[in-house]
Amino acid sequence: MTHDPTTPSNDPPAADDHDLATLDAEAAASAALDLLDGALDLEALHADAMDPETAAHVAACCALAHELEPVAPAPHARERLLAAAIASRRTEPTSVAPFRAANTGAKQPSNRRFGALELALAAGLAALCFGLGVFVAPQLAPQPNAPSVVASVDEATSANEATSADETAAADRSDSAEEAVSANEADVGATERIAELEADLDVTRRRLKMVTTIARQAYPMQAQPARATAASADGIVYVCGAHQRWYLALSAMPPADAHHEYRVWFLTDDGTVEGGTIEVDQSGTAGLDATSMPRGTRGFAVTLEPIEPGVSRAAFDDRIVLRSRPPVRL
Amino acid sequence: MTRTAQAPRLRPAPDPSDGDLVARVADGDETALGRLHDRHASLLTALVRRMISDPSDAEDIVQEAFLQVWHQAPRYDRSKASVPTWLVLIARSRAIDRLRSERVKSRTLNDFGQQRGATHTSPEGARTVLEEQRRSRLRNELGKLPDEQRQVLELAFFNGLTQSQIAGSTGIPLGTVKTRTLLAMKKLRAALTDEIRDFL
Repeated sequence: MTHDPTTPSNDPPAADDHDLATLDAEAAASAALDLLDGALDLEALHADAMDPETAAHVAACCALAHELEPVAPAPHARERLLAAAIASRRTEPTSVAPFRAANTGAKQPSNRRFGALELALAAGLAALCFGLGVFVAPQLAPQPNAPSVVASVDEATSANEATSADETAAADRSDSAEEAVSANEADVGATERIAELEADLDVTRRRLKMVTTIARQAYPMQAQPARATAASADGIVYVCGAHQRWYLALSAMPPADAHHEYRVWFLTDDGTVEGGTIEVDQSGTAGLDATSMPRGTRGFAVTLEPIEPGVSRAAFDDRIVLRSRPPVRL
Repeated sequence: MTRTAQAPRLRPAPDPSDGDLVARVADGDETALGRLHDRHASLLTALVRRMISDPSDAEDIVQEAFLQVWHQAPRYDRSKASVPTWLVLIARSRAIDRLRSERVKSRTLNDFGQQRGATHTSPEGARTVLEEQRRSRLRNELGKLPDEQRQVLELAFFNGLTQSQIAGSTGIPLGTVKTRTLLAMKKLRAALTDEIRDFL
């Protein structure tokens, strides 16, 4: 499909007299285009910053789907869905704790072996992880801090493959009563594991979209010379301006001692606003993301703060471990 | 004279709204999930079949979309979007993930010419007059869009192509692609004010 320059076009002539209302309308439409690009997924709909204009544009685009003639779903699709829903249950940790549920009298999973559905779900998850990795890895190659994200995908993939192997092994066990109990526990464990992996994947997917979406800004974080212990620390904050979504990725962070914790701050026109506590893992990496930020945010800072209340603090600038540099539009 | 006790007339309970069903799904009610599926599976199947040519893949994606609803229902905010719009966004997002991960854009792009105007059969779909009227009006308004504007919008929405990819695939300058898409969206929005109110 190529563009024929001789075809009469309905394109308007380039306008250089856009008024503010036009620019606002175009900004809203552009934000909706971000959604069309599939880059922001549904998080934007959950974000407080999504304005009604953008929502209206999104709804207009979704009207395209309503134009289509309905297509009846496959036979038994409903039954398969409900079976899968029951099998996968929710991903919240509180709802998938089988051993605690036994003590609280909550509904127990049925005493059954692995069926084709569970195996298919596990295989689907493995395929999803693999597909995600294949698609995202090349795009992440030039990105700072990408390895930690990719590592999460790899880890999830490996763990998921292990889960599939566990399920297959469990399905092959004999029918003795003792082994049946064992298989049932493995069933519950695998279901719980799948739910956890799904939750991990949701987080990873959300962050990957922040890293790979178009129209994003990146704020490189620079270690502050005064903090010699964190001199090697590195980081970056990805921001999708249209929706105020942000993702902070840190690496080579020295672990905080038992009396301190890292916190992220928004540097705004009106001062500093705390953005949350950062948990650094054993490898020195950390990630934090959210769907809103204060208006007028111009930069970010990571500080090392005393945990105990009432402890006298140094001046804000002296507590800063990492401070953002001017953003780069990607 | 004997009087026969008359059974009380039961008034059928009104159908729960989509929003109510999602709230019940959020509470873990799989029956509500089933009812949402009854109402909207044909819409999502049509959408995904439009985007993914393999019926088996499309079926998987629709199921994945409803499973996502099952897991994310607690996060649904009816003030941000209607349930149908939310469902469409979920299904479309899953389909785009599949398109991109399998790198089948070239195939779907080549299919674009054949897909436009293709009829989708609905052997069992229970259609209401209102739905038919809405569909007819949508089709009418979309038909009013200039071809080049409708083309870029459909490539973006149904084929999951980014603006840059549309430019690369069609040979149209990126700026023109953006202008056409924005114009198409604005016209669509202006023309479908009433429908959009339902979708919001």
